[in-house]
Amino acid sequence: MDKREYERLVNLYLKSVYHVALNGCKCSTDAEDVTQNTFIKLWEREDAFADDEYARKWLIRVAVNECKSLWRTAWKRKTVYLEEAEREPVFSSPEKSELYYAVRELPVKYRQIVHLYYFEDYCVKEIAALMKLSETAVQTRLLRARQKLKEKLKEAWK
Amino acid sequence: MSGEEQNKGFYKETIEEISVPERLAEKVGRVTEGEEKRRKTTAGSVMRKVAMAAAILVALFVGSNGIAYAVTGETWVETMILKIKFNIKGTEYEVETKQHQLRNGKTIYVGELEDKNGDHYRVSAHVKGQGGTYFEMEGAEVWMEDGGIYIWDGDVEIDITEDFEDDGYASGTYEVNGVLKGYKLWKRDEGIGCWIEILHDGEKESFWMRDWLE
Repeated sequence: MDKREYERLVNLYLKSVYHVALNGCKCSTDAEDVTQNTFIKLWEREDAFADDEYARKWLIRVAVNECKSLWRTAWKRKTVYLEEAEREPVFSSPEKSELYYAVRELPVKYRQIVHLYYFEDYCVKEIAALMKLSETAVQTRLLRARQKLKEKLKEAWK
Repeated sequence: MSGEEQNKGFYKETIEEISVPERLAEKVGRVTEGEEKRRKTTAGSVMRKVAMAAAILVALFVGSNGIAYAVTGETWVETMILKIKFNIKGTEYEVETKQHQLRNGKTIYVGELEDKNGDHYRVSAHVKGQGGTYFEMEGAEVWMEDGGIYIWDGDVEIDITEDFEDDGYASGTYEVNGVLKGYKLWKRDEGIGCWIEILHDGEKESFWMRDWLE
């Protein structure tokens, strides 16, 4: 990939990729690894993207897959990150903090879909394609995730 | 505005408040600087505590196709489950192992066994003729930060950066909770190898780890 194009895409999508990674990994150190690996793959990619939206989807799909690779790693279970406590995000209100941790406590199969739906604005069909799931599975998970969030957040979640 | 739209707005506002760590932005920016430099950055700047994945190394397989010799019936291509014979202190155990992919891309086969003393081990074997018994040694961790290398074990912290930088090799001993431990770290093309040894009354058990090391 051309360096200028790479830097442009980094400026556009670094935050999105990091958020997807953080959502998938829960741990910021892993999220950083996932993000870096994702952009390494971008740099190594030879084909140009049709447009920025395609690039965004490609990056998010790679990040989701990188998270999966991380979960499969046997050694991951033995890895503990001390600095995590220092890196917990700080929010401007307790409600936001509660929402963040409520989502984070969801099983990964729910929280990734929640993030893609509520943050990235993907529709069920797009999420299904991205996650290689059926649309029904995505709908079901989304429904259950909403219920769980409602139970936890009460009025804060409509 | 519908409830779902409110939820979306609330979630977006929340996530937007999480910024990208500066060091990550720097690392991602440096991806274009070439493979060698990038690897150096990856290994050197990530501050992490790696709980020891330790191994009592025992010679199990010889040759590049050792795993094939070790297979005792399972169709590993289909199930990715292998029965492998492990030799621990002279006793042979047959263990069902499952395939796992390490972060460095290598494949290992991992299982658990109970030895004749009732001690439990996690065992692993590599495809390319190496094998071993390993278990987590919770006490000892190796840290890397911005080119510095440290060993942490309980209250003990050892900075081995200078020692290691001299010739790519560092070794020494330390005592924690009445247990004497030895360490060795060495640099190779593929990364940094690390041994931690626990020394008990002249008896030595050696442990091996690598994970964050590319």
